[in-house]
Amino acid sequence: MNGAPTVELERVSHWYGPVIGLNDVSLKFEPGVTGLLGPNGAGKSTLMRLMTGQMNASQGGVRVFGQAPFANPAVAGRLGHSPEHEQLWDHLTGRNHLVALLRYGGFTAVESRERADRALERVGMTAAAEKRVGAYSKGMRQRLRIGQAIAHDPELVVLDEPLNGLDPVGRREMIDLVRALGAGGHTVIVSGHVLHEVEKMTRRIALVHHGQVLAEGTIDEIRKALDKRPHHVRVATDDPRGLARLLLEEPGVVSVRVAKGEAHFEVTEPGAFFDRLARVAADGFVVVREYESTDDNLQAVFDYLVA
Amino acid sequence: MTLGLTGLSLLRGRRGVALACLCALPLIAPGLELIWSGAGTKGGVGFVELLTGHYFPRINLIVALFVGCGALGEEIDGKTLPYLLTRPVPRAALVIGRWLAAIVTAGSLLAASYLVLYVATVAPMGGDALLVDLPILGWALCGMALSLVAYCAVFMLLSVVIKWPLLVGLALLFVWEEFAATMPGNLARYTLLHHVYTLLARLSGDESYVKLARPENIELLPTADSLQVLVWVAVVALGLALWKFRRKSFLV
Repeated sequence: MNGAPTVELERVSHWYGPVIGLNDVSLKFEPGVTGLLGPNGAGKSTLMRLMTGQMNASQGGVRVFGQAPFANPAVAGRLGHSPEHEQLWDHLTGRNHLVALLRYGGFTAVESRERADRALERVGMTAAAEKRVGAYSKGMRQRLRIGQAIAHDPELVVLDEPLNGLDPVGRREMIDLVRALGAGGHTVIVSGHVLHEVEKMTRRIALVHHGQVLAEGTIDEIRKALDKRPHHVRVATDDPRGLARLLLEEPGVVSVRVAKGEAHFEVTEPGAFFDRLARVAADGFVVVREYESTDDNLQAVFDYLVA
Repeated sequence: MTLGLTGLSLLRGRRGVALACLCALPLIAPGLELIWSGAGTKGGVGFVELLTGHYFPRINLIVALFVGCGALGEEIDGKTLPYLLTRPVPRAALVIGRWLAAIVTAGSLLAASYLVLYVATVAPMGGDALLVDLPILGWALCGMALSLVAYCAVFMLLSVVIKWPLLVGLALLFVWEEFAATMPGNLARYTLLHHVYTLLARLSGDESYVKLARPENIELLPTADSLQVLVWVAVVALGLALWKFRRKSFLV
């Protein structure tokens, strides 16, 4: 790789007629797992179609392995893509589906069969290999889609909503598979809107909303970048009004809301605030039962950014 | 691989059954006649009559339409195209592969029908007739193959550039080709079917083909001219389909 990112998007915009799908997006993806997060219609699938060479950007540059991916077989041979929709060739068996795609990828019949079997095993579909795809459940179809994306051992794996349709066990298995691919040096890009699931696959994310990237980096980096913006802190106490009075004048406290047995603060300097809170509790002015920063998780970051 | 995947896909389900039934439809009359009276319908002449009355102007075209439009169109409509576009296969190879697969698929279905029809109409005339009239079958198969080369390319182009290729294809076949063929003057020469008939007339010398190739008693074109028309239509249609398919962003 020579240190170059696997995928690089530079000021990419894409329009669907008058509708803007992506707006001035610049992103880089390197080996490991990266999550593309955003609600439905945010532009995640558009990004994935652009980087897998199915679509050409209306504006800006997309580079995958240093080359333009659109209709480029040299790039296509090094990537695997699992689309969001569940359509497959229903008349084929699961094994033949993978074999057919591997043959398209240039593998011999024998090699295709071996690779198909290995991929089916990795996605837990060996038992259903000879069953017609048309008879597959939603979860089985998802597994097969992921199987075809990894069967040729590509360097770049792009999985659009890979956990959709899977039961809890399947989700766990696919999360483990994605993590294993990332740990194995592959560049894995996964999209999703169920945030805690993406969080289980990776700490590195890009938040996409309305065709724009709102933030990118590790979850911790994003939180740090947001430090100058108000954090939400919930404090459980016997005297929320008293606590609010004591802390309201502190620097960095933007607002306070009092509820039954709780005070909710918005603070811009969470470190200093927690120090002061600890002193107040230690001095015995009020009893602090517990406190938490309610926006430490990804959901809160996401909610905050898209609000 | 392309042929296996496309052929299976194009001839499966209701469409496959419908096309097979369509191909078998003209076989019913000679078949019944053969069973009940033990006599075929005029041997080789009857065979050509059925070809020119049903297969060349209707059935061949409908089969070519559905198979030609479906060869790539099915992947687009069925949302399976991303699997192909993300393989290390040049888009041009996909188009050409699917076009060839469409010709072979449609050709196999029609050839099987021709064979059955040939046996049903010629065999009652005696075992020798089957051998004597074999060139008639050969020319019919050649004509059918040539027509598929051009029509499948046109229909594949339609499936790549427009949203409702079947409707436009039906209009092209049953409005333009039929309308132009019945118009006075040389308008028929702007239809593909005219050139298929011209080739069959020139190559086989059969009167039925000659009549069809000379509507309004227009002059019969030379073999090379009609062959060139079919080849050029196929090349241009395929070239445009390639050009469009290579540049098109697919939102599936």
